[in-house]
Amino acid sequence: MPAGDAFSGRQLEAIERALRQAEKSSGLTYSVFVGDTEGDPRAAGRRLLGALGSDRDQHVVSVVDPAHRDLAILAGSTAAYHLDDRATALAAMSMTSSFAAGDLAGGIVDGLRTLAEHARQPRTLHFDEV
Amino acid sequence: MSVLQALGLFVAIPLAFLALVMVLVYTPSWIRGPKYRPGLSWWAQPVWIGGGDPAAAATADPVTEGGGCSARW
Repeated sequence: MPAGDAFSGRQLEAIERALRQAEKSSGLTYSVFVGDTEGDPRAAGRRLLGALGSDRDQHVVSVVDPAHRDLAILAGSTAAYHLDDRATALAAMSMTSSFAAGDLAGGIVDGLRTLAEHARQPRTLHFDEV
Repeated sequence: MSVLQALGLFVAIPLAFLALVMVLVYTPSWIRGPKYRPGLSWWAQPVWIGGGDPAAAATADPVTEGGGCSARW
């Protein structure tokens, strides 16, 4: 990988479009970090969420570390309520299968799509009794 | 056949053909952009798409609650 940008303009555009669509369909906010995390993408993801301030609770950040071939998907406290660990694991699987084939941008787009599909609205219990 | 004609026939035409083949081979990857190759080192600048400045996050307090998962490839 040469020094410079991680993605071409077209790849960035596709990822940004997937981010917008995911936000529109699920009501949560998403971002993707791609870079070296010194082998600990989970800790990097927690710091990234922390840097978001008040938006952190309903945010989902995907941390991709191509140097160490590591991935972490972290959801803020409200987002985790909508998006359980099984859904994030499914998105991670769809991402890593593309990453292993050398398609970073395609994997990110697929993963975002999977996350948005599984980010469900929480059930309203005893609604009829209110 | 003059020297100029010989140079054109045996040097310029093969070089032009070589250049054409190189353009045809490399054009698809130029259009597609940089390609990640698993196992090779990664030198690109960190990028946080949809977020803020990745450098600012280095000093942020990490969150302690929430969910998620990790994976390797």
